Amino acid sequence: MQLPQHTRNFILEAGELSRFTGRFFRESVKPRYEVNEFINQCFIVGYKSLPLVGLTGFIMGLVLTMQLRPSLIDYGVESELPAMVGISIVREIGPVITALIFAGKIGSSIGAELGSMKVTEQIDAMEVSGTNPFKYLVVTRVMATTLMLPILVLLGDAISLYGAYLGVNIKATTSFHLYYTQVFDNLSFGDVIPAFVKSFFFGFAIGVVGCFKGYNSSKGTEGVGRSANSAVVVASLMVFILDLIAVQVTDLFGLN
Amino acid sequence: MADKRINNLKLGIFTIAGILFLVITLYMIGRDQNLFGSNIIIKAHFRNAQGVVPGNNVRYSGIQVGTVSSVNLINDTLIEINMLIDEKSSSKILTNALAAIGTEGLIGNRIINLLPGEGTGTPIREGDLLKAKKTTDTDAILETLSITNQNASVLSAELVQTVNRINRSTALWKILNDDTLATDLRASLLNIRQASEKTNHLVSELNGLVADVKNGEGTAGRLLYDTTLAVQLSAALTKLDEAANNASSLTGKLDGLLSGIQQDLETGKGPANAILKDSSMVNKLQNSLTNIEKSTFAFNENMEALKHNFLFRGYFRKQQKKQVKDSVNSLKTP
Repeated sequence: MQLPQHTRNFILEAGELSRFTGRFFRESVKPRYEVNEFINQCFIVGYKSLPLVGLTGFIMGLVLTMQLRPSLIDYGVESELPAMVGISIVREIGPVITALIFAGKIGSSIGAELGSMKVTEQIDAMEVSGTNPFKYLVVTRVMATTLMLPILVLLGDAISLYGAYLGVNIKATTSFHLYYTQVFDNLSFGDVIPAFVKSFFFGFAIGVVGCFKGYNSSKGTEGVGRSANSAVVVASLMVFILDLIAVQVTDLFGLN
Repeated sequence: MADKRINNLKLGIFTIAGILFLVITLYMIGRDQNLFGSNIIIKAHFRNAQGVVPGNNVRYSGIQVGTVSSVNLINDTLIEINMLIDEKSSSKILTNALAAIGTEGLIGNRIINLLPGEGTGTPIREGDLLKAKKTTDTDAILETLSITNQNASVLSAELVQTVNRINRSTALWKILNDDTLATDLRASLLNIRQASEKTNHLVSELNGLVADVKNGEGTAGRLLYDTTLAVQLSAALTKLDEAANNASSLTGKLDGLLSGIQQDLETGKGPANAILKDSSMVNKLQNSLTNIEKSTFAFNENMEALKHNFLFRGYFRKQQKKQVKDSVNSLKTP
């Protein structure tokens, strides 16, 4: 039976991505470890994304608060605004928005970087010079995205909550003390831990997809652009799919 | 190399900041759930848990002191709620405190309210059982409310009828529209007020009177309250009794006397009979009286003859002149 071309390509790519992921795990546990490059990548991936993530988070917190206020006033529970905003930011908005921004910034940069390296045959050259290109390029980057995204999510949450605090104070007056008491009173481990854990998976997916797209870039400068683009698209999609799986798993464990 | 070190430094700060925020968040959530610090467990038994679940807040007089750790079914009517109480607060909570199930706000989460009890108690210790205070369930309130609602609907229906009747009544409207009624009513009220004032006055005077009577003043007072009077009265009555006895003996004697007289009269003896019945005595008396009359007339004639005698004539003339002079003087001096 002949499957349609698109379906075949999709399944093929899924298989290749799985192989790629498997190879990542194999390579990552084997010495030697590229620690310096890993730290360098962490700096680029994590630290340099902070302003973007921070700004996005701040705006999201502020906007969410201002958008929620009228509905809460309708129900007469305006005082619950900090709790409501806190829970939505920590559980969902923080991780997902940060991951999407991260996918846009880092996914595309990894895809483009590795794609251009592939196109200009730098990867082949690296292999010749005795350096394992997969270890040096892929493992470090994926490790960096996996570990840095949760931290970005946490900091993004913090900034977002501060934005929400300002948002609450636009039309009402709430002390910062009361605000964070209300936010943390209504948070539980069941809100924080699943969100924190799923952000590791988001970071991993973004790193793996970006590297895979760049590493398997087709020839020519056109291929670089395509791999960068598809890295972002697939990574963003992966974030949502993982989010869907995460909520199911959380529900299964009764943490919702 | 220097650049790389700075980058590493920045990365370090970034990572530490992120992890610090995670730790702070987890700590604050944990603190709310009393996971840190030492706690003691106390219990309370309820008939109805009303939806309390582990993790619900426990408040003592409105202050957060712990959380519900577990809710267990002991038997078919008894539910045990275990509470984790912060050790710092536990020294202030006494064993006589009452536990009641409440709600955060109107529709919020369930909470356990610990209320200070009456009397004295000792600070709670691990495993103490608090008394449960029965609180009104929302369902019970709604049930009562539904009865109230029915009553209100019946009442309002009857009220509508009444109002309709009032509206149809011409007499009532006449009364309401009558302007003179108000003046009359006012006058009547004034009269009533005056009357009541007078009554008041009267009552106060009566009051005074009664008080006087009570104090034994006045005749009535003495009559009612003076004990000496009763003694005197009793003595008087004794004397009256004696007098009556005397009178009775007197009448007996009188009776005897009269019967004696009667006998005398019937037998024709004694002076009474002579006076009342003897006709010869009457004749004798008559003759005597006629004699006396004759002798006085003769004496009168003698006296007149004496006046005209020359020996006594001057004296009588002098008497006559003095008499005339006196009457003239009395006329002159009015």
